[in-house]
Amino acid sequence: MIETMRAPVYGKRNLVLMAILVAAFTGTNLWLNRDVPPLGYIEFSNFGFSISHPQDMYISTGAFIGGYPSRESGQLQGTREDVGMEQFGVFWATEGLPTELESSLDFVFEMVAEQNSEDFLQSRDPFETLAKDDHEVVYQTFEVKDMVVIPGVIGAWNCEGKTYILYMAKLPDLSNPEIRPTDLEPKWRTYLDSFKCH
Amino acid sequence: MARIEQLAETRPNAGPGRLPFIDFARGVVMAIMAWDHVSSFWNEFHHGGEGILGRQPPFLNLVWFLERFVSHVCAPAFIFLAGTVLALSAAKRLARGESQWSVSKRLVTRGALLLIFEALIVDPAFDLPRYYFGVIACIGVSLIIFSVYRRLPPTVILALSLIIVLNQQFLSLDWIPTDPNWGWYLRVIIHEPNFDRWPYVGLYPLIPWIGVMGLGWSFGTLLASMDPEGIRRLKVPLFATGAGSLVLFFVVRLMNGYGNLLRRWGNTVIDWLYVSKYPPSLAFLLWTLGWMSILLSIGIILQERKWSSKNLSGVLHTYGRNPLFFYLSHLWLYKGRLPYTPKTFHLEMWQTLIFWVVGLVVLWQLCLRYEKLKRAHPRFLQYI
Repeated sequence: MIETMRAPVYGKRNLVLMAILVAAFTGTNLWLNRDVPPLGYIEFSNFGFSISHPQDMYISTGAFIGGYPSRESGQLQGTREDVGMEQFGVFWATEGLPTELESSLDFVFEMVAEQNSEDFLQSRDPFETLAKDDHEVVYQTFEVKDMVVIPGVIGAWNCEGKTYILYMAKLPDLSNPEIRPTDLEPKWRTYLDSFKCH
Repeated sequence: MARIEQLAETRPNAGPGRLPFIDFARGVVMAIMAWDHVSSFWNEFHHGGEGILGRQPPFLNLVWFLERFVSHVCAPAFIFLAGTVLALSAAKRLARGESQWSVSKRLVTRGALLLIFEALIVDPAFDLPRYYFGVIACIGVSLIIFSVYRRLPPTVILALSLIIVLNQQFLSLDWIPTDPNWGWYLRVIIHEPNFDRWPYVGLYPLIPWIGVMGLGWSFGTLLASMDPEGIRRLKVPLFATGAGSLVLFFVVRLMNGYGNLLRRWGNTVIDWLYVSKYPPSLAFLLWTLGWMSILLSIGIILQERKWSSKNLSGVLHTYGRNPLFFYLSHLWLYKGRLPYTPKTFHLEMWQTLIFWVVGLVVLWQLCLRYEKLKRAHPRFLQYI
């Protein structure tokens, strides 16, 4: 009886089997859900691409080059204002944009600057590159001024015959009164990682 | 046959009796929890809501972030140790000759009482509606589920608990409609904490919290099978588990993918430590249960010293022996406002700290008196 008392509650064999089962279950879930947006995020899917964004963002679409948003060209904008103003957006076009990715970004800055005051564009950092699904992405951090200085990140790449431009900007808030543009890179990359053209 | 029943049958006095190190760990987290609540009642810049529907409310600065962050350990430790004590108590009762039916009935009664306490005592203290599904309601429903669930073999309960904790972020409740209120509320209770549709609100969904309680149950089952010397030797494994858990927390945050319901957006202290509590992400549980393991280890070390029942650790033990009484009474003690005090009246942080300490002294005395009362009327007060 004493031996029975001292027998471990969790036998080694059972523990090993359990560990294998838990690992297999979790691994399968990780694989099956590799493209699912995280909790609190939802996926926008239209015009030949999809992107995940926080579900409490207000989403709107509009024209970019041409009259209406379509598979060929358009722009998407997501804005969140309740817990710190944050904005992300996508421009896309099959034609009408310069062929060089750097020039495409210049084009967008010039277009936006035309609609704003003279001192709208405060700074643009040097271009950098990264790879996304075998495509080269050219990106840079920037600061613009609309009453206050707003940092952001913007990048361009080609996919399925279209040029895509993805940006995000965030207004400084109570917890982040001095956001540097580079601080936004991880979040911008999260948007980029969730982006798929199809 | 479930192992806990075997233990009960093979050991006439199964279970190691009251374990002061559990009371110590629980006492520490109760005191920290009291800080979180007194600060929420009286400080303008205190807030929570980390992770609700993926949201990340900003904090005023690092100090206000940390004064909230320290309290994260409370709910996981509270729920984990509730599972531990549940297993120990079940083993003890079965060893005494109580029937399975009697043990289950007791759990259902206690669970139902907790739901009543939540609605009548806790929710009004937080100015929340009676439907609010908070930590006490979550434990209450979990106890009711455990009245049946506990009959599974310990290894199965451990496996299911790990599966719940490790896989909760993949759970999709899209099959439950959100238009009817019942569907919305069901989602809140199962895995989608939020305050978006009053009064069907809640912060402590059953998944993954019942998994955390299951892990606690598994730990309690292990304790019930050990002699005092074996338990004493647990201090090193517990410390190692806690330290390992904290290391894993940083690995999960560094990877910035799986296990993070809120991503790390930068490299500041806040970025690294800002994790989802509602629902609790794997990162949140690694951090909090890691510290709880270390607290348990410290509790075992203190248990070996004769002076541990006096001074500060004695006070903490007292809180830990009366968790439900402490919980129900501290809310109203700290919430109390002098007549005609405007709701917009706030305290400075240092004033709140003094209020917290004074309140803890009062609660200590209240707990001591309550213990005496409970000893005098064990039948009447057995569920509190």
